[in-house]
Amino acid sequence: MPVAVACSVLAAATALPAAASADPGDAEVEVTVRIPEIEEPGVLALSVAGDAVALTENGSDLLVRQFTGRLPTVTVTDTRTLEEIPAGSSWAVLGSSSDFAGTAGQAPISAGHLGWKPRLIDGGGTGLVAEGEEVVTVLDDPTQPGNNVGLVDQELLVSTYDSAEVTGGAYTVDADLYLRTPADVAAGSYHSTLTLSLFE
Amino acid sequence: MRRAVAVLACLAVLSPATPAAAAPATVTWTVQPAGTNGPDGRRWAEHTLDPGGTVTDHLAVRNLGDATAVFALRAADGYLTENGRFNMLPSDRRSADGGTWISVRETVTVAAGRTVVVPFTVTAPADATPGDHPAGIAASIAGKRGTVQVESRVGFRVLLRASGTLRPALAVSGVTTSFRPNWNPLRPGTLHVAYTVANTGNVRAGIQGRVAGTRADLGELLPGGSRTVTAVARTWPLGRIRTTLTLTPVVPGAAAEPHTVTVTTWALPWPQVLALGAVAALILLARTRRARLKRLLEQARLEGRRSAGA
Repeated sequence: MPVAVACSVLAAATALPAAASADPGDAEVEVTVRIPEIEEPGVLALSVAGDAVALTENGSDLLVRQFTGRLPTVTVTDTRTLEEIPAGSSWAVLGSSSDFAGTAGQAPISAGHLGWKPRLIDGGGTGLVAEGEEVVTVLDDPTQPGNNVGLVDQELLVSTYDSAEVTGGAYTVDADLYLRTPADVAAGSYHSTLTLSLFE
Repeated sequence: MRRAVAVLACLAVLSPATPAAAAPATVTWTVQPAGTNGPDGRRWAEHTLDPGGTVTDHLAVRNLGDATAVFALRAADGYLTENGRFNMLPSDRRSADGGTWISVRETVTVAAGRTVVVPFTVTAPADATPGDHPAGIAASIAGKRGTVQVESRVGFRVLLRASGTLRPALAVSGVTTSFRPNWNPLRPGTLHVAYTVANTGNVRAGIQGRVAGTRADLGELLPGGSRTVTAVARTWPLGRIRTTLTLTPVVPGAAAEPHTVTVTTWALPWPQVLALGAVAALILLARTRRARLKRLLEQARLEGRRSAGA
């Protein structure tokens, strides 16, 4: 996934003197190239490679039906200079889901039935950008204390505690999503909205 | 086979697989506070208004991708999550506070590589209560199809304050303590103090904590927000341990009283008692062994004399 980074800053104007001619008697011509400085401030930007997730059934058993899918790849790019980052800044991408509404009047499936497992694809070399914890559904046993709540509230997808330490990089993450419902859930079409938010 | 039936009654939770060619391109964008000419370097927007007052501000939406994109613009009530991250209510939840003070146009179209500045107005209601009414504003792209429609937002905080008296206040609840002894009797154990601190005032405050002499910066709490914290202190198990918990809200331009709670924990020095017991047992064992040896020697001497005299 190439990430469009809008600014490459060449700080120094480069002067390239022509190579001295080996032939004496030639007039020396000095060639100068001026590369102007780009006056664009750096940015903290979000890239999202899609706006929907298709869930397909797999891994169902007699008691629980399971539908899985993958979140579109999300990249956070920070091109700011240290002077442009206020002290104590930290950024995070948070995710939360709405309930799954039935399109033909079926009872909704609550957001607690949707779980995810974020996966850091590129965390850079600092170790200071981390994917969020796994959140399992209300039908599961917790894999971490109290994490069987589903995506009802805001959960971390990827975050850092210190923007200044990780600027100048692009950090990529996705997540496995799974919807787990009781086996007797009404058939039909459902949809929900998963909100991802980047704030600093 | 119930299983087969379950699979037959296939739940149409699935959207038709879209061909890869129709997959939406990656959108890359950012949103910053701005002046009329573009981003002005502010981290977020802060405004203090009199009730009924209005102020106009700007945001810049910058499209860093390689295709024109249409962004939805929205403002909503802001809050801090349990781990101190800022977020604003999702679009399916109704704002009731600062988010309702902001009006901004519905959408903005931004060509590839361009920046568009959009004005937004903030109007404080006539009956706005003094203090902070945090909000956020964001530009988002949202799917319209699929089982899980992903709405992605980039935004910044809009920290709104209604003029009037600032009242910083905290409440502490649910204090629990537990002591874990260190089984090395020459090392202190650890005391864990868990508690929930809530901002019951009308102004956002940084929270400075002190537990058993250890300082900690607990970050910021918005009015009505709360956070559960666990503090760890090294301490010797001396029976009854009194721990003082002091929390101070730090608000620029307002004096705040520290909030103090004292809790008592029982920590019995079992490792030390066991260690002393073990030492005593070893001494006792050594003594009895020495006494037995003495007895056996006596007996041997007696028998030696007897056999010599026989």
